[in-house]
Amino acid sequence: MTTQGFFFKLAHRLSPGAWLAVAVIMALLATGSGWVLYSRLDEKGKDRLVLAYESIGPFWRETWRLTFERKKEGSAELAGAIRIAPVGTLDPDASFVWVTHFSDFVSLPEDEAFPEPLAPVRLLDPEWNPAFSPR
Amino acid sequence: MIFFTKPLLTMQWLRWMVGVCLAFALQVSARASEVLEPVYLYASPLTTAFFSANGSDYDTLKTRWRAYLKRFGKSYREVSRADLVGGLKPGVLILGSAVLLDQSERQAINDFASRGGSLVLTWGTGVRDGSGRWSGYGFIENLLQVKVRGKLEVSDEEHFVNTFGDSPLTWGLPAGTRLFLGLVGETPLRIEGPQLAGRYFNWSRIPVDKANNGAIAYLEHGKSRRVFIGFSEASWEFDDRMELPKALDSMMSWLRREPRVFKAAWPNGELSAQLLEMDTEDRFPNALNFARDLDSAGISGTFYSLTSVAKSHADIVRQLSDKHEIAYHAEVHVGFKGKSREEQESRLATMVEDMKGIVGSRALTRISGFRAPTESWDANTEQVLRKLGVRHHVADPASSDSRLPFFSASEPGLSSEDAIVVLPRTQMDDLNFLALKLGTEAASAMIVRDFDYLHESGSLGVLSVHSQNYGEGGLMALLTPPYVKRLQEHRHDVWSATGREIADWWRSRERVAVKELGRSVSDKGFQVDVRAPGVMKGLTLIVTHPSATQPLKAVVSGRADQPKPQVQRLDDQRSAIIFSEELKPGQYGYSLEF
Repeated sequence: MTTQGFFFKLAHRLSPGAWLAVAVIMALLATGSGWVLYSRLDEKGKDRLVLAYESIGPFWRETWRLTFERKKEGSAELAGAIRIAPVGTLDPDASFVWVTHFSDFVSLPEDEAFPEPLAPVRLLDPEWNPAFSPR
Repeated sequence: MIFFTKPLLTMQWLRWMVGVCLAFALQVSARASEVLEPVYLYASPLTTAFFSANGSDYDTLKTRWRAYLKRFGKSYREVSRADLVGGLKPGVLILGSAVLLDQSERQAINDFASRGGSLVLTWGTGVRDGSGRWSGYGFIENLLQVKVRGKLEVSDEEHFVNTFGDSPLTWGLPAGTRLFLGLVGETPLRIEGPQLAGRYFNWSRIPVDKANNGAIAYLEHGKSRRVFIGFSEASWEFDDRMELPKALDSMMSWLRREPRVFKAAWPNGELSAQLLEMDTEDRFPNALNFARDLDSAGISGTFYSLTSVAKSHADIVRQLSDKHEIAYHAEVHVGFKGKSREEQESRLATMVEDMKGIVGSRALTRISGFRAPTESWDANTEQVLRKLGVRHHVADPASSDSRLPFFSASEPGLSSEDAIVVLPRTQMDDLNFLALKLGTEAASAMIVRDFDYLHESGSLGVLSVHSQNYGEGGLMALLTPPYVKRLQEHRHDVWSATGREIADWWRSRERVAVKELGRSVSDKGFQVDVRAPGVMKGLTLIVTHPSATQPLKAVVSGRADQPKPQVQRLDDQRSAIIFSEELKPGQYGYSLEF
């Protein structure tokens, strides 16, 4: 004879599908009642509610990050850091795939990169007023 | 006859020879200081291959330089290894985090520098050899004559760089501008060197050890100018306010040997400014101890007084007002932030009434400074204060990202004549020192270091003490005298003034606009426009030298009736032009001789 607790029996009274339906209905009820409550609040109340939500949000996110993401990274030190260069670039003992070949690119000829101006440099100078003959 | 003509001819010939020699020397000297036009961005193929072989993309770092150089209109060219090794004509060569450099590249870079080329190195440039194996920081250390003290760890707090104002490199930003570097994998390098233009700090600028927090270094060696930026281009991503490009612009001018003229932060050639102030509240009579320490050094300070307490010590207030400035610290020690406009109006009106009872209505017009209790204030506070005649406000460290005064933005659209001048307290106060629970010796070393940091960066220091902590034997009573002594040692280059004097200066400085004329050594000049009302006295301009061997020699006035400024050489890289005479509203033009 097995002695099973109240919650175990309750969990098995309905099928998983029925429990899913209960969960969906409850979620809808919670959302609906939340929306009704929110719409009935005055402006200050809404501000406070949003502030509370915004204060709690980072707490959960940080809790999640500090609990799981450090382990995932394998290095507590670099948790949350954004990387572009290979990890350990400034570490003298780090091991890498060494460079055995590389390809240089062909740059533009210097003449094209720094073209000589065709028009006189002073052309755009408002102070320059060349004396010229109309002929 | 011939006895007379021969010597005459000889003299003419001599004169002609001297003239030719002089012209030649001038030409050579002008050529030596020509503005370097070409800007090269090195597309290091070895670094590209290394990043790629190890799952990264070097282009992501390099492309930030491309964006900067394109957006700010600099004509630049991306150069290959073949170009570099083949020899580039002198210009500015940017080695943006070019981690891998082989022997030929290193040699080519050194040759380029010895031919007069300027270099920009960032982050780990040259720390690995051609195959990617570690070769150390020698390349950076040799080129910049600095010592790399290791890297900043992600877990460290000093992820902000503070730039030096009025410095030859980073004058494009106000003194002490705080730039967030982000938590990036490319952890910045700490350097120690004789010529810095930026340091790492934490957000609140706790004055850590000087040997470990250099961030930007520069060096002029022979004909070559070099800059090292300790953080990588990955950190540029966090520059939301787009401040870094302004610093890069002024750096590029220096590297290109382009002399520049700009308005200095402080008058009469002073390099930094200092306000010594007391929040005069509990144990009000201790204010006399602080005043005694200031008097002994001949320095005037400001006493921001809590009027409900000051009422009971009117005789002390009057005594203090002989040599120092009296200002408001509200009526009771409760902050203003978030309080309704009506409540703030009522409280501030009470404050003014209290003060009127203490100093009388005549002296009341001279009370023009304010400091909020617990540094708690908002836009309403400043709006009401302005209507009550307040002209300056000593605010909290979060009020500004730089260490200079600024005009309040609480009432957008106000002119600088009407807006309140905000003096941010970016220095540690006595409450910070007490919270650190340091011994007197350690606290004393820290406060002096704090001074050195704000002075080297050309900042405004606001040393704030509280009357309750200034009793005989109290921490601040012990720390202030050596601090004041330090100020006295810097009497020639630190401006110690009251809050009102600093605010008045800042307002008059804003009336002056400086327009640069010409780009090169031969045609460089400037125009000063002084706007009414009032006159300008003590205006100081800084000129960066085209090279250490070509300092500013003279400022030539465009008209005979213009004031003649003095030239004061600050160091190898810059001089100050000081207008000791009054400048009346109008336009003034000058040319420069190097």
